[in-house]
Amino acid sequence: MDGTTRQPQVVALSAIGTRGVGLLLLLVAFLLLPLVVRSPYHLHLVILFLLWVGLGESWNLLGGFTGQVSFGHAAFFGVGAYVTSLLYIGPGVPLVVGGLLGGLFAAVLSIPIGLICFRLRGPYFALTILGIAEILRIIAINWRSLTMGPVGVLFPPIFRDKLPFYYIVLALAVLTMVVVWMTLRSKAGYYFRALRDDQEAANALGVDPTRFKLVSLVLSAFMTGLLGGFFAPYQGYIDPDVVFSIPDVSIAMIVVVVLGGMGNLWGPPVGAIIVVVLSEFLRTTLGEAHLLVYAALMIVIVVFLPDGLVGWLARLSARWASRRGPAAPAAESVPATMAPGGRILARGDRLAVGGNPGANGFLLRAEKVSKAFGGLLALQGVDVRVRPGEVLGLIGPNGAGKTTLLSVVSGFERPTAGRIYFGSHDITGLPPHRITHLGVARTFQIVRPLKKMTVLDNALTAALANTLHVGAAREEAEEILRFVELSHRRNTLAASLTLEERKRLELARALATRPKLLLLDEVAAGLNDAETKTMVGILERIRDAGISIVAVEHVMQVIMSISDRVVVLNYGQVLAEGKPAEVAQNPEVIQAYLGVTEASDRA
Amino acid sequence: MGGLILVQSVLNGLLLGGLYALIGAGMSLIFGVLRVINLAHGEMLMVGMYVTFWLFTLFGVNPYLSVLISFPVLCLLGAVTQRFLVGPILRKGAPEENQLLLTMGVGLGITEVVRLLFTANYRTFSTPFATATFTVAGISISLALLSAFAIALAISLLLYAVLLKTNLGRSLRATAQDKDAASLYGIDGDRVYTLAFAIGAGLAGAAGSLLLPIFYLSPTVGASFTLKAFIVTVLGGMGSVLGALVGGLTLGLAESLGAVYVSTAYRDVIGYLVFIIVLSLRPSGLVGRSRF
Repeated sequence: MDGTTRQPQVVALSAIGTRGVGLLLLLVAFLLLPLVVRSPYHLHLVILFLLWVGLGESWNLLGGFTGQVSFGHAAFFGVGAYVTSLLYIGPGVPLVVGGLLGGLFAAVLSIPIGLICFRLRGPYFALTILGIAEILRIIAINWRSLTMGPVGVLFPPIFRDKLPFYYIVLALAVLTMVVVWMTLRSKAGYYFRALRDDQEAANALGVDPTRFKLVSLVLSAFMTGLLGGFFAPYQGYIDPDVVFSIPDVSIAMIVVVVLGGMGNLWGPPVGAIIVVVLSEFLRTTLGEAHLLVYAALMIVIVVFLPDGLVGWLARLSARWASRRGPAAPAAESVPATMAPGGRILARGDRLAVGGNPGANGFLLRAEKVSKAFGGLLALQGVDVRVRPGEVLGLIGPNGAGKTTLLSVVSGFERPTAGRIYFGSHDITGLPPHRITHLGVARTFQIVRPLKKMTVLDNALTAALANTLHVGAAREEAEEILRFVELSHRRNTLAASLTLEERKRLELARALATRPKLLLLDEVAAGLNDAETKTMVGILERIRDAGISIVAVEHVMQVIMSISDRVVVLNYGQVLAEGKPAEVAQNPEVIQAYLGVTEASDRA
Repeated sequence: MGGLILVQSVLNGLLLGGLYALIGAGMSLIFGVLRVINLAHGEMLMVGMYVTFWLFTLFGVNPYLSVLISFPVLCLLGAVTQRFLVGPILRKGAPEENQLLLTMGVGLGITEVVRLLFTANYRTFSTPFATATFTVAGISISLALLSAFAIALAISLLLYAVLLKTNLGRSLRATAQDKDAASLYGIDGDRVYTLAFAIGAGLAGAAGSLLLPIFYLSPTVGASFTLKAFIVTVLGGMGSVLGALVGGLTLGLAESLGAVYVSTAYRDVIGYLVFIIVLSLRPSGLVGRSRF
C-alpha cells in the first residue's frame, strides 16, 4: 500500500525533470512491485489503480484533449466486458482475442453515435452517450438468452492468484498511456486540441471537426472496451448494473480525470490514486456516503482548479521556481536563427505558392452572391473578382457586408444565392476545411487563438494542413513565426499574448496553411502607429511572395499602401470599384462614409 | 379490443407526457436563458419528491398542495446553485464542458446528501388516492395521473403567460437573447440568471410533487429524469418552453405505446430511440426554431 501511494510524486517529478530516466525507473518499479506488495488485498488495490489509469486515459483522450465530454463511457466498458465474457464462456474464444474483439465492438458502436452527435454543437454528445449506455443496460437485463439477464455472467477461475492479472493490467495501462502520448504527438493529436480550444478556428485551419472528433471517440471507445474485457475475468462475474453503471463506471471515469487534470497525460494516474485510496478509506469510515466526497471534490475542482491537481501543482512549482531564482529556464529565449527585423522571406521562398487561375484568368470569382440573415440582406448580388497575385482592399461602412463576404467565400456561411469559384473549382457551400485545403485561408476579425496551445503549436497545427509529418510542420511553423516576428514567443501559451501579437499569430496561422488566397479581416484594427507599420511591412512581403489578398480594413493607411484595387461595399452591394486613389475621390464613396442623407436613397 | 388498448395507451402516454413537459420546461428555461444544461435537474426533481413525501408522512399534506412548498424550496436550491457555483464559472468564461461537469457534480452531491439523510431505501407513496381509477367508455383513467397532468399543464401555461406578459418574463427573454444588450436597458443580467435557474429548479420540484403518487422514490431516481428532461428539451427544440410541451407529449406517447406494443421492459429504450431518431433527422427539434 505504501509502495503505491508514493508513486504519483515520482510521476509528477519525472514529468518535469529528466523524463526518460524517471519513466524507466517508474516502469521498473511497477514491474518489481509484486515483490514488495505481497498481500492480495493490496495487490488488488494496485490492480484497480492501473485499471482506472487506463480508463481515465481513454476518457481523457476524448474529454480532456478533444473537448468532448462523455457521460456514458460505461457503454463501451460494458460492451467490451460482455463481448469478451460471452465469447469465452460460449464458443471458448481465448481471452486475448476476446478482449480485442470487445474493444473492436465498442469502437464500431461508437461510430454511429459520433456521426449523429458530432455534427451538432452543444451538449448533445455528452448526453446521447448516456442514453446509449442506459439502452445497453436495459438490453443486457432483458435479453436473457444472450446475456443471462440481471443475474449476469459467471467466469470460471482462470488464474490461481492475482499476479498474472497484475501484469496484464499493467501492460494495458502502459499501453493506453503510450497510445495517448503518441496520438498527442501526431497530426491527429494537434487537431484534437485545436478542436477543443476553438472549433471554428480549427475548421478555418483545415481541420474537419466531425472526422477528427470521431477518430478520437473511436480510439477512446476501443481502449475502454479492451479494459472492460480485462475487468470481466478479473472480477469473476459481470452483470448489467455493474458494467453499465452510470455512477460506478461513467461518472467514476470522469472523476478520475477531473481530479487529476483534464487534458493532462499525468492527470489520470494522479486522479486514480486519489480515487482508489480514498474509496477504500471512505468506504470503511463513511459507508454508502463516500460518493459525497467525490461530488464535493468534483465541484471544488471545477470551480477553483479547472486544470486539476496536476495542473495546480505545476503552477505552484512554476511559481515557486520563479521565486527561488531568476535563472529559470527561459521559455521566452530568442532562437538563434531569428534574423533581425524579420526580413526573412525572400521572393520565391516556401510561401510563394502563386496562383492557379481558372480558365478566365481569375483566382477568385464571386458571382451575384447574396446572403440573407432572416429578413436582413447582408449581401445582395455582389460580384467580386481577384486576379492571381492581386491585393484587393474591401472597404465600406459598418454593416456593409464585408465580413459576411469573407465568411461566405471561406465557407463559414452558405450564400443564399450566387456562386463562388476558386480557380477552376466551384467552392459554393463547401465546408471551411475543404476550402482551406484548396488554398484559401482566412483570419478572424475577433482573433481566435487556440488558447491552451503554445504559439508554436498554433502555427504548427495550421501547417499540418499540408502534411502528415509533424516535424516538417514544426519547421514550417518556425519559419512562419520568424516571418511574422513572433519567434521569441513560440513557447508562450496563446492565451497570454497581447492583442497585437494575437493579430500576428492569426496571420501566421493563416499563412501556415500555404494559401494561394488570403482573406484578412481587419488585421490592423486596434494597432498603434508603429504596430501598423510592422503589419503593413509583413503584408507587403506576403504580397511580394505572390499570394493574393482580400483585405477588409478600416485603417485607410493600410488599404492605400497595399491594395492594387479597392472594392467599396455599402448596404450589401458594390458601391464602387477601382484604384485606391480613384475610389478615395469618388463622391458616392465619400457620401456613404460621411453619411449624407441621400445615401439612404440607394437602399 | 385492439382499438381500446390503443386509445388507452395513447391517453396514458399523453397524461404522462404532460408531466414530462413540466420537467423539460424547467431545463429548457434554464438553457434558454443561461445556455447551461442543468445536469442536476432530475436530482432536483428527486428532492421535490422527498419534500412531498415527508410533508405527507409527517403532516398529512396532500401531495398536490405541497407543490406550493416544493416549488419555493427548489427555487432556493436552484438560486444557491446558480449564485455560488454556476455563476462564478460562467463569469470566468469556462468552456462548456466545465459547466456540464459542474452541474453533474451538483447532481451527484444532491443524491449523496439525500442518501445520507434518508438512506438508499426505496419508498412508495401509499394512499388509496394514489391508486384510484375511474372508467369512461371502457377506458380506465388513473386519478393521480390525471390530476398530475392537469396541474402540470396549468403550471406550464402559467409559466408561458409569465414569460410573455410580465416584466419578469420580458427581462428573462431579453437576457436570453443577449445578456449584454439587456444590461444596457437596465436589466441586471446576473440577477436574471439567478431567477431563471431558480424558476427552472422550482419547476423540477413541482414536477416531483406531482410525480410522487405515481412513481417510487429513492435517492437515485434523479439521473434517469435528468436524461428524460434533456430528451424533452431536445425534442421540443433547445430553449423553447412551448416546445417542451410538444417534446414531453411525444416522449410520453413513445414510452406508453412502446410499453404496450413492444415490451414493458423496453419502454425507456423506445423513448431513447425516438430521441436519437429526432436528433439525427431534425436536430433543431420537432417545433423548429422559436424562443419560448
